[in-house]
Amino acid sequence: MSTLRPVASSVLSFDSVTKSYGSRNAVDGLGFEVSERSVTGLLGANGAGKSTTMKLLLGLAAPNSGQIELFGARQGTAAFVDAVRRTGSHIELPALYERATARQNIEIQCAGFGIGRRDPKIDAVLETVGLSSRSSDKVKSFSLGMRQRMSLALALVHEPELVVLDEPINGLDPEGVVEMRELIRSLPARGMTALVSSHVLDEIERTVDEIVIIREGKLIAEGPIASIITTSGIVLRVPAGNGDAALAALSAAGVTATAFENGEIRAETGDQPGSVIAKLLADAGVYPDELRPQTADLESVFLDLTASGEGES
Amino acid sequence: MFAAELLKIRSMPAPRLTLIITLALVVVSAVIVVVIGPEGSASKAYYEVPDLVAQVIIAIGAIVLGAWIFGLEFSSKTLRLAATVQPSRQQLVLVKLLSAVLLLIAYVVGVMAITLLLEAILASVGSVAFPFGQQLDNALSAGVEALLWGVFAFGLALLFRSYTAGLVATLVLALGVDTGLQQIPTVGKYSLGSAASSVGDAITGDAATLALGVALLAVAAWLIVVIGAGAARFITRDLK
Repeated sequence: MSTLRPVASSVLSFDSVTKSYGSRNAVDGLGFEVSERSVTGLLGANGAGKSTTMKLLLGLAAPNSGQIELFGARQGTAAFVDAVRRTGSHIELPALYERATARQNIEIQCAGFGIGRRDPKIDAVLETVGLSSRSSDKVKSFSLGMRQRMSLALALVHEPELVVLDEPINGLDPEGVVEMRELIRSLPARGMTALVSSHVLDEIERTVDEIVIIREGKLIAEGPIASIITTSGIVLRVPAGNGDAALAALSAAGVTATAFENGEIRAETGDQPGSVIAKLLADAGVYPDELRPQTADLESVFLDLTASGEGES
Repeated sequence: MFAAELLKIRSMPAPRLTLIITLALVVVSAVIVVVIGPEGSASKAYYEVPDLVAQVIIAIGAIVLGAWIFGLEFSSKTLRLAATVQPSRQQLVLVKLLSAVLLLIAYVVGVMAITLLLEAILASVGSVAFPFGQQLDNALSAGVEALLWGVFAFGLALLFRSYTAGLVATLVLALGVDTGLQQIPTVGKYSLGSAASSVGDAITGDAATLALGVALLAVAAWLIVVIGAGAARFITRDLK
């Protein structure tokens, strides 16, 4: 499954990129693009190649073949080095100077970008990630969730154009998850593009505009989330005692339907609109109390897509 | 990028602790000399004991600091962060090397200046003449040798991609293996320890194993090989 999109707005592109470790291809002919000012989710099972993909785009690892372009600069060129400085990243576990305070960690990061120690951006980013009150504490005393927040602060403080976040909600409490989601969702409005990977598909579904799904280093789906999570049927509720009549009417019309103990009937209607089903039921003397589209969630789509290729060579 | 390295040196406890421990040991040796009191009046031991302690400790301290500059990033797994702030690996190595040299110079000069002051006070306490010029030469000699070992430790930490491995390997080489190397006929005198000692001897005017030019070339060769190998590995390999 893939959707063609204009390439002019792409800030990052992978073209037939392969990265091997020994005889294993961690990334295998991977190609995808990330649109400017979008929030893109990079999904895949453990070992699918997500972290390797992120390391490749940040220049931390070099591909064996294929081309990576970041802000129009090809990997391996001097311009690519400059392009990497326009990113902010959090890859795998938070990388922090344990014996320095939260504020000192951010000051060090800022110094690398020519931002002074008294720049208001430092206080602003501490406020954004909710660590203002702990700015003088050493990072070694922080919980995993606080380290995640710190790592995010380091990724954002220099106001990069592309933010790369690997499992950003790991260790966050429910309130932190919501804050992180809102923060990531706000990045495009601030002129930033985000590439986010997570195992929490429900959260990704609520956070991203586009998704890239990889399995064993290969692309299996790419595009706007709305086009990947498609409507696949209708869920309806009928008054008590009308269930059998509704099922019979749907069956007679060639629609596969299943009744559930909670009173719902799920009908696989394909492309037929809800109004057609409503009329069909009304003709049979059944008037539904509720009728809504049945949307596949990202989890089921993901499991479908990643499982369908198992056993392939 | 260089500003970030200086900020790391200021923010992290390792450089401060190394300096404090070094000075504490020198002061303790001075206190012991004063309390116990050297044999015979007007003994040179009043200033020679702290001087000797400082020479040994400053070499170890320089190795600790030299290995720390890159070792910090390996042990805290922050190299990914540093390499995205400065994505040119060549520049990152150069900035780190320059930071290491500056840190080592500051450490050596600071410790030696305080030690010289302490020695002068102790000489006064012991009522012995203090040969400032000679002690200054000794301090410079020990400082230069410590600096060279510190830079070597920087290279080994980079080569082994580990603070602990770089530190231990340099200490083992400096305190043991190098002495063995010096026993090898013909080439033993070109060991790092021997060559560094010859550079130190040139400062104090003592008889040296190698002429200054040859000693400098030998030291440069050791440093270029180790730092070059470490840099080549760092630049060409993926970062974990």
